[in-house]
Amino acid sequence: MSPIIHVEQLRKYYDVPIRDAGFVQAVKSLVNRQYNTVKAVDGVSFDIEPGEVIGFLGPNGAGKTTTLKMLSGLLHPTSGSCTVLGYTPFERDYAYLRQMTLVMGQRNNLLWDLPAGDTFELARTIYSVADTDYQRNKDALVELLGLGPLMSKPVRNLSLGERMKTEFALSLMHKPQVLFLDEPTIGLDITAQKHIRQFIGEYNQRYGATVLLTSHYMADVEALCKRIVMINHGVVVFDGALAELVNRYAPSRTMTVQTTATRAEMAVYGVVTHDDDGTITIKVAKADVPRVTGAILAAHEVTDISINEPPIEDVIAQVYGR
Amino acid sequence: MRQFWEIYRKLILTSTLEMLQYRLGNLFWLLGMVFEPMIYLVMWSALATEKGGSIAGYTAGNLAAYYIAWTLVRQWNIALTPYGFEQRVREGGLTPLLLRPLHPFHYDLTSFIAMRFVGTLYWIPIGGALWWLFTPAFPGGWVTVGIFCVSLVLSFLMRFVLVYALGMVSFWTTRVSAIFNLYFAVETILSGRLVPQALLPEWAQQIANVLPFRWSFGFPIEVIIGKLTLPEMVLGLGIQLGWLALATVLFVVGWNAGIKRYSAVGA
Repeated sequence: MSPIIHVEQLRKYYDVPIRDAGFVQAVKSLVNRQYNTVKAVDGVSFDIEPGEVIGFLGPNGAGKTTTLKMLSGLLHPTSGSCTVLGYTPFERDYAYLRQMTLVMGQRNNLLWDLPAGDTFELARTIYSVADTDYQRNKDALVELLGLGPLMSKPVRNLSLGERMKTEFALSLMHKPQVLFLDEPTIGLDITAQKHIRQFIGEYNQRYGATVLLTSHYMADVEALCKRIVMINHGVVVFDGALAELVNRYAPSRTMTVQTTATRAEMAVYGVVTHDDDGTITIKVAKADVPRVTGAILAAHEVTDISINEPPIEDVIAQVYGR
Repeated sequence: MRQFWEIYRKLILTSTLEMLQYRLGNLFWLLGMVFEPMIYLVMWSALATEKGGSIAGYTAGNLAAYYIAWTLVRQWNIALTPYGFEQRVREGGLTPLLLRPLHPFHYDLTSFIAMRFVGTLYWIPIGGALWWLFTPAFPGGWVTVGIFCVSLVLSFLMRFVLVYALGMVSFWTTRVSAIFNLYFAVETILSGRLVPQALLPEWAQQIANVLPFRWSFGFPIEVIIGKLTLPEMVLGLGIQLGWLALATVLFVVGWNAGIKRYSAVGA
């Protein structure tokens, strides 16, 4: 199968004017403006197969949004190449725009004064969706996101969460094959986040759509993405399965032991991170886990023992910090 | 092509629905717009009376007709200003429009067409009241009315595209208010908005004839109040079409170069 998204040595550099603070510097910059080249994306390469859901991660300013904007045709790359569905995005071919969507956290595509249904009707015409497909797509979105009662209310009367769900549905009304989702759950409460997350999974399953998702909520990533592409300072620092990321970058495991042993006795096996009424948590090097488990069970009275991977946030923070 | 017209029909319909949400707002906006020409009308009428009944060939009845037609033409004359476009570029409002399989120009044009429809509906009772108050002189027949309607639509289109093309400057710099202000100041004087063109000095009239402003404002008014001969009216329509064509070329060139720049520096 050929990749649906092909990115090769993609670069985006900006010349940004710089000057020190103060009046004198401001006047100086009028005649002698200095520029700094910012390498927002600096040689990113990856391939994505049809139907994959990819977690596109990185700290703030890593180049995630810039990459998504290049893939959705909003930005011209400085160099390198990318194709999506066989199209060169920045040519902004209408046939391409009809098959993709870019969803950003802060969206404002709904017509404020009209019921959402009117904006959906307008989008149907702009995206040239056939009547029967439109009805089917809309019904599916309304059902999956629970939008039934919201469609006939003026948008200005919807709550933030309701509006974001409706905006989300609108951006998928034309049934895109490729979804670029930039922080799709930002600003939503836990329930709405869960709804959107479930919806993305179901949409991917139902239509075989390809999803490239950025999110700072690891719950989104863990629930949806088998593969992670991580970038930092504009370059890819990891591309692989989520489990592999944890294996590679999490050097320790957390052991929680219910025991009669004391804190001091357990400190022999690793760093005690928690001690609460007979439940002691220790951090143990990954390679030592089998040996330490055997030793604890042999030497102490143990009623329960569990071994956990560190939270994904910790693993990712560690990769960011490298 | 059928699909394209369907998009236009749907966009105009949807924008009209949006406009109709602001009933009182529309009314007050239009009433506010009527005050400006009424001041000019009272002033010039007083001057005409003082000068023995007419000034530069304009009687009190002609002036009343001029400024009543003014209110309709002004209503049709509104376009997306470069300030609006500048704000869109600066604050990223253009980005969602670029993701749709439709040029943002069509979206803007149709919403302004819808505004014209709704505005004209509101204008009818206001125009009627002004007619009753000022007893204007409209000597033209149906041919004049027909030419007026065509010139009104062309004045809207040529100004809309021209001002939109001016907005393309925002792709290069988002601090060009001074240029826009100068443009609108010259337009106010030379378009016939402040005074009928015939009341300007001869040299100013010559300048006005070669600039676009008169053709997007004063010309339709001069048509409907019967100040032009048939050949002059036909020539005027041709000039409007010429300006529309030139504005379209400027817009297309500006857009193609500007959008590359926009997507180069950050959308």
